[in-house]
Amino acid sequence: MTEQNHDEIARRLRETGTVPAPPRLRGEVMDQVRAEPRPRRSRRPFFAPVLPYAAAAAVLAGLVLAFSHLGGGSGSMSSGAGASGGGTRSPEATSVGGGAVAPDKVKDQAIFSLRPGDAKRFAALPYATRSPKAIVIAVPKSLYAHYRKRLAKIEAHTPAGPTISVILRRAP
Amino acid sequence: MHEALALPLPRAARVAPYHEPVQIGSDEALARRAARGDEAAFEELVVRHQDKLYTLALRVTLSEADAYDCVQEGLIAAWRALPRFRGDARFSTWMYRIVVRKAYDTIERRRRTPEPVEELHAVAPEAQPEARLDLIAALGDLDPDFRVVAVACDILGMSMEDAGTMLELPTGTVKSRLHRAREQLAQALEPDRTG
Repeated sequence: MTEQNHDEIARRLRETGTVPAPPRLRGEVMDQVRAEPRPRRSRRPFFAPVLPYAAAAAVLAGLVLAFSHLGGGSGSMSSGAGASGGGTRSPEATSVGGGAVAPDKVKDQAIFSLRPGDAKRFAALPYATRSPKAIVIAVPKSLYAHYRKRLAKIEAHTPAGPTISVILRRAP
Repeated sequence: MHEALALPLPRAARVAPYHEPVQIGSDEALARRAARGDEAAFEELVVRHQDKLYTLALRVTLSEADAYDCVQEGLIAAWRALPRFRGDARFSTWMYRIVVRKAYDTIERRRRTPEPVEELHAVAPEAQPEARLDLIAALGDLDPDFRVVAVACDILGMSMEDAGTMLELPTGTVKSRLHRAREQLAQALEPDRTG
């Protein structure tokens, strides 16, 4: 069969043209369409694409805020010893032995919570001073790391119950 | 009287369509409006395409009643599915695909439960020339897979690519089916052509 015959058939098919749809078709379709519940696109809010990022940012901000409150700048942590057993905390807001400690002097200090019995042993040291709320031990620079390590170890083994705060400071 | 003539035209009448985007009346624009529930936009689409859809269904199913049902059900299905229309294909192609599926379902159902069918050539208008009726009858004798390609490409004027999209077939398959459809039609009409 030649290409010409193909074209001839195509032409004749084309000439048959479209058949008009019955006039009632449109009306019946539209009646049904109007009777149908309207198609609804699932409406997503305009900010939906960034929602996961916003949530992640909010969580991150919350964590940062929480750490900043819990850690309180954690002077003892930043002192470099890092052997406080996780229980040490900055004495910034603690009023011991006459007034709060200024933030710039917190650098070489650490607070430990010990059982009263253990704390009293440290109270007997010549470096120790006692206040109603805590025991402050101001040790020479050479002994600071040793005491800090020792107190951290004791604190790590301190069971739950009443404790006394022991503040370790580096003597000026 | 003069005062009435001096009245300014209503604002809407003065606004020329130049301000409107060019594609405002395109099928795709209307489909987007219809997807949001605009019945008037959908009605416009129905008006635009109902004849071609009906022709497609009629030539494939060979029955006016079945063609009517196919187009009606197809349009309702399209209305329901419009919110999911992604615009990957042209709206018309997408619409034809829905109706073709309905037509194939009808043929399949008829094959399973044979029943008397009002043949196409019997319902064609009497005023049509005999040769044309022969062609339509020969078209009805083709395998539906070949028939639908001939209807899409030669009667409705679709490109082979669009026909492929509509039928979910590669363009090469459409081309070969169209070739065979024309060949079979030519053979069937041979005495008619020579005579």
